[in-house]
Amino acid sequence: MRTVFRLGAVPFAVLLLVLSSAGCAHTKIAAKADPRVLYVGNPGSAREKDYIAFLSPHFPQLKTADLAKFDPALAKDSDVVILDYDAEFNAPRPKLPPDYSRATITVGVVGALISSDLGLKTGYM
Amino acid sequence: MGEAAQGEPIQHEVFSTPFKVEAQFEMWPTPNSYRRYPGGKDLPAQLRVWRVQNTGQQMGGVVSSPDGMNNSPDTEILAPGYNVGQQSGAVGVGRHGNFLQWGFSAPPSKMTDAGQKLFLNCIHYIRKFDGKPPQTR
Repeated sequence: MRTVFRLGAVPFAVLLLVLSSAGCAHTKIAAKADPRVLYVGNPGSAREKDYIAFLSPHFPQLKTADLAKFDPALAKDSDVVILDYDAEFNAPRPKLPPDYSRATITVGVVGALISSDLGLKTGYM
Repeated sequence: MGEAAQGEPIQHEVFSTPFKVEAQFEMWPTPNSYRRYPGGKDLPAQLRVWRVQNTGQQMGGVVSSPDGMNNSPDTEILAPGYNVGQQSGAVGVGRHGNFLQWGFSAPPSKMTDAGQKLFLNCIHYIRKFDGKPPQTR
């Protein structure tokens, strides 16, 4: 019994080590898989707070910016940009260069207007 | 646009990855504006829709034209939006290159569970198109 225990203990310890390592690796992969999101809206608005409360648990690397001052360079460390505002037709409309290629979600009327400015088929109808 | 997407969700990863979007269907009256467009007169009196948000307002948000969305290499209609001013099949959620337009207006706290999950999935989905700007305008 004693021998069996010792023989079994070593593989068990190795197994624990392997599982532990695998768990760490999995955690790292999962963390890497979470897109780094930049929410661009109206700073301090209730709508911005609403988005932050919703997105933060899902995207730990969430950052925010002001749509009125948005510059594509702000998005260089993000994977996905969300362009939104708590107004529609009188919201700021940043001018994006034609070669802007960051993955971006445009929201609502202001999103459609920004899309129209860029000549996109998802623009305002 | 109204508060709902129209019709059955398409077979697409944006409705299942990473979150399964479970649409709760309702029957809503066919908007009069639909009748003005080709085929509109043949639509039934009610249409199958699923709520994306609950703001209590009939209007808000925006749809995009479906014209030209299906003949471009890098555009997709992900969800038609129920609307009372344009045509049936107008785009509520769609993609062109690295841009995904979410036409609904509500902040997340006023989205339905299905709406919230679809929005989160859209973030994961559009990431795949980072660095891939529209090929056509």
